[in-house]
Amino acid sequence: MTAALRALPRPDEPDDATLVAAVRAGDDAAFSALYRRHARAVAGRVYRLLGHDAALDDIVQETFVHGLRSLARLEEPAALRGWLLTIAVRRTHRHLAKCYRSRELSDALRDVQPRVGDARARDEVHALYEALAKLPPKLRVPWVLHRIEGQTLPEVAEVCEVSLTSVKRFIKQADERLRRIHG
Amino acid sequence: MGEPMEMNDLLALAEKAREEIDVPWDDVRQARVHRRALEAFREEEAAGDTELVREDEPEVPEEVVPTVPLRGWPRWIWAAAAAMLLVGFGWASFRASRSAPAVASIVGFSDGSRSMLYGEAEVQVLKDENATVRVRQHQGRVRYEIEPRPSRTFSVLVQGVKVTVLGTVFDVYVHDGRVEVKVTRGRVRVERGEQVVILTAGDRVEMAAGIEGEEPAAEADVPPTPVASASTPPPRAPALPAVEAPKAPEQGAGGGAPDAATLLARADAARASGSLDEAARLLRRLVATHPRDPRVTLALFSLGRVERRRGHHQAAAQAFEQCGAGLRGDAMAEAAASWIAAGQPSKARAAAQRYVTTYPEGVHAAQMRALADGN
Repeated sequence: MTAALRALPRPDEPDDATLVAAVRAGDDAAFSALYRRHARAVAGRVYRLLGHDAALDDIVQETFVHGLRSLARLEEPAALRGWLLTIAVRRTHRHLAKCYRSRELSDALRDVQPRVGDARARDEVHALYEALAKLPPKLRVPWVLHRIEGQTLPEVAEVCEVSLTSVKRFIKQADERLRRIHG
Repeated sequence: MGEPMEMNDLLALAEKAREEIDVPWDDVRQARVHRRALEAFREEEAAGDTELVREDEPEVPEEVVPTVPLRGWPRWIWAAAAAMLLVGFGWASFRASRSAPAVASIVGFSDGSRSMLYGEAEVQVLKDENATVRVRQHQGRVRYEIEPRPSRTFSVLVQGVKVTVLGTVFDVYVHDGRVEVKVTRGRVRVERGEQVVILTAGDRVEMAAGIEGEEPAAEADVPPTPVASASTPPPRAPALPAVEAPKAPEQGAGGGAPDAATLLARADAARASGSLDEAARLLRRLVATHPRDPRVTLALFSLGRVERRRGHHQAAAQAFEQCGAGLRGDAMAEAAASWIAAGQPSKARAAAQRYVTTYPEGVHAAQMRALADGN
């Protein structure tokens, strides 16, 4: 059986809350089970935020290691996926901020672009990510979470740890800058 | 530099990115990162510095909308509900504080459904009867948790948009002249003017608000029929594009709006004559206007075939996906094949996996198993 098939929850598998309790008790197998169940979702969100996969492995790894080691702070074990995704977004944000400051990102993006399934959409999506690379992460991350990932504004505000008003302003600014770049 | 890109074009581009980005996360990569993560996890556990408080740990999990237990509601909410009953469900608005977007108040309905108001949200209960519950949402974000009840129609009117519940949990958010609907569980039907779209779990639609009080009328066009049960949740699939307004009035045999059988017959005739655009339009109309008709699954399957013949493989896959587990799994297998044709192997594998899980002994099982395994 492939990892992809194993990742699908089956009726006979324990739920997240049970596995979280087992991880807290030091069970490596539970760690692996949670990883297989949630890794694809975490990787997808990180990849669409980054637009390339240079740091994808590292961020996914860090998310699971630190997220599952900090389970004592997770009040609702059944909400583990949201917990992990939030950690992943914040780590990705920090990574983007570091690259943006040192201008590594724009250099990296000259050669690396997101993989796009439909060839007809490839150029447009690549152009979008080139434009996104010109935005500071405080605008880019909320914009991707809302416009591409489909999160609501209150959800974005919570993940980005800013007020709802600020999120609206950041997304509006990002909209305007992206429209100008594409104009 | 030329004129800025149109806002709608930018939103369409974001949608395209969401649909078309193919995350390079295969089994080999997943296993490699798993090994690294497990080693790092063991090392840090061995070092003993557990329970570190890190700045990127969320204070609360992603589920922004916490579930509020029924027991323990403040007494004033029960008092408010009782008052509403006494005044015949007249005007009653609920305002919350203007601070954090937390649940500020809860409005309960006679069938056990409830709505949770966040921040500045404000709703008005227009009707709360056995057959009909109708709510007008004036502003803010509200989560609706609706008790499945086939004999009752539950609808939310919001600034020119009508959201009809088909048994579900969903959020409606009004902000900056726009209306946003996001479905967590089940299905809802969203209408604005003559545009209709069916949303399933995980779908979200955002549109410009219309004029309050000019929402599409009448529950009569949504006949109450069974909703999905908890044991057979509807399939998660992208919503079909909004239905275009008909170019000319179409009538059924009795002079009214055409029923599902009439639309299906016309679509079949159009398909047989090679009018694929017309066939697709009629089938989409059937799905949108008769979402609970038992022929919807067949219509979606036909739509998938029509879209495939038109070369629209992604639209075909979406239509097949919306058939769920109907038609003995043929639709799932067709969806997998269409995702391959659309150049989206990850979605094809997912569809194949669903088939294998649901029909391990099905006629397409060997083919789907091979696809799911990446062969």
